[in-house]
Amino acid sequence: MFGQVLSGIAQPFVLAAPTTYSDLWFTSEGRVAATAVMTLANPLGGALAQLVDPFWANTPEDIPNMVLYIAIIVGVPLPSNSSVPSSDQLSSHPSQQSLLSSSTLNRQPRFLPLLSTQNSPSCHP
Amino acid sequence: MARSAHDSVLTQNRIPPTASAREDLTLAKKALSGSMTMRPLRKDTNTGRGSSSNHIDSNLGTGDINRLDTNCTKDSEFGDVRELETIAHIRSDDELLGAEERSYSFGASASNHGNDEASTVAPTIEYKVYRRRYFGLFQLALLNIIVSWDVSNILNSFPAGYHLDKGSQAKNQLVVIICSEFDHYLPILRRLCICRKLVQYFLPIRFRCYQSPHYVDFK
Repeated sequence: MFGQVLSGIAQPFVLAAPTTYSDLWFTSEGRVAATAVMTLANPLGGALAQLVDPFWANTPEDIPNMVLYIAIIVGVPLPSNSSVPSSDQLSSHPSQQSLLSSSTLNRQPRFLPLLSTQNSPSCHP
Repeated sequence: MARSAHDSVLTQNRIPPTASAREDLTLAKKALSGSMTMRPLRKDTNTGRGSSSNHIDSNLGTGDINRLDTNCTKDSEFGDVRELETIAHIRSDDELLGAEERSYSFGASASNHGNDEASTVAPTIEYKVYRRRYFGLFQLALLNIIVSWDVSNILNSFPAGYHLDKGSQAKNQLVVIICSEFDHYLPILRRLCICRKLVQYFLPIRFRCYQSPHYVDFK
């Protein structure tokens, strides 16, 4: 139960990570593709859950355990990117850039449908 | 600093120096054709702020016109060099770019955010990229897959838990609701930021955008 709540709480942070990561590490040529790959992996995981779970559903209690084991294996070797200088995309005032771009986005009428349909934390910098 | 074997250097938008204005025009047209311009290009004038309703306007200012006086375009006997000057003034006119985008187009210390500006004095910026970024990409993608897999398991557990007792069903319902709605109200919570002092002390530095900000002056 607690694990389920924790994974649900973690999802918005996981959804917001690709935009910052691709902004930091990728140039303008590959940034869109990188963000797309990482963002589309989320619904891919949902689709995989719908497909694979019936094959693993010998007992209903075993499925979350197996997925949890996989998550532990995945989550341990985190990339330590903070000390490595990367490309130049972040300016010297990242907090200003965040608030400025969010205020700029909110003033655009074309952003509102995108916000209402997608409604993910990645839309809000 | 020695470059490691895994690093690779990419060079963007390298425009070699040319001798004649006609070659400049050809190169400018080539550079513009490769750029990602989503709006019709308009020429920046110093007569006013233009018709844009956004307060972040595209006016480059009067001083910038003087900076673009190169020896190729100043005294020109060719009629098409004026077109080159027009091209040099044009920007992609995307008001979502913000103030930071304007600061780079005026000098050799500029950083090009992907806008291919056809200027004869365009600086060539080399970006150093690392191959380890693909490892982070793979890991973040895998992380997204696993997290959404777990959330889907939560969502699927509700119909599967129908045979359980009522207490477990209520708990499952509550978990599903919390996890489903958390994505929606987390950005709103960040924006409301009820207690600024609390944010100041408990959030890391890069998220302290709710203090009194020092905005870029839009003149």
